[in-house]
Amino acid sequence: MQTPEFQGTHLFDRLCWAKENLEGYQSEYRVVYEDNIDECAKILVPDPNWMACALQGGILPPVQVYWELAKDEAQPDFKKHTRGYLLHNTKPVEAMTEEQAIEYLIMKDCPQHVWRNWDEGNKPKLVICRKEQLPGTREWRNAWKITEELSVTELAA
Amino acid sequence: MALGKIKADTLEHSTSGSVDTKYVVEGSAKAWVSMDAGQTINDSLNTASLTDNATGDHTANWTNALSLANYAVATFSRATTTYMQIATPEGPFTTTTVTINTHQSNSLTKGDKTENGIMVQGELA
Repeated sequence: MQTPEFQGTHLFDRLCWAKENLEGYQSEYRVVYEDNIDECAKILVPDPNWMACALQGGILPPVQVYWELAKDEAQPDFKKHTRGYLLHNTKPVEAMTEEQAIEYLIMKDCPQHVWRNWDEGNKPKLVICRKEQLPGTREWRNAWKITEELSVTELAA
Repeated sequence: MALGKIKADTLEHSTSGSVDTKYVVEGSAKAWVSMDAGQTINDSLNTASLTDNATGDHTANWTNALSLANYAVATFSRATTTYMQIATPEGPFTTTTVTINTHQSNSLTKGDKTENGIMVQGELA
């Protein structure tokens, strides 16, 4: 199905169009990351409707738009978004592969200090894996950590 | 854009009166998500991803940010036990995230529940 020309259309309207017209896509990828050494690992799970938008193309704004809005929200005197138009008026991104969509999602929904410095340290702060590579049950969920056996240099290579 | 558009301020029924369309626009959910215990999203609107933070601790990440961070959130949690399950919003919201904690009504200890939901009403950015 061809995506309508969506630049300038409210992002929420685009998402409603996608919900009506696109089949959700359950990705098998998961992103495991640690943003605090005193806490267990967190798992990022992609939304199937969002994945469908990413794979379709022409719907989602560039990820940099979210960074701009996050900067506004981090201001001490923030009350309300005044640059929401960035979500709606910025040229939407083209169709992504599943792997590109996961990278986009990491840059949108994982803390920047994690993904910008993922390879600084003795072990990676962030790992992309498949769902079946996670523990089979949620027993000891609060003790899940990225294994010390993963080497940053090996992953980077 | 190829989408059709009807512009109206009021909807009027032949006998039952009329309603201002701002009630429809402002009263509709702006984001919702139905999920299991942090592993899979079953269905959603305006949701980009779910972060499984820990046992009974999950964050929904929105695609279209809300305009303000003080929007209204409704949550539910369900599990096959005799006790009532509770999902409570946790910490301050941001315009793109809501975190919930799930637990049993007779305990403050967080626990995973088989079905969870979050719904948001407010103004979109």
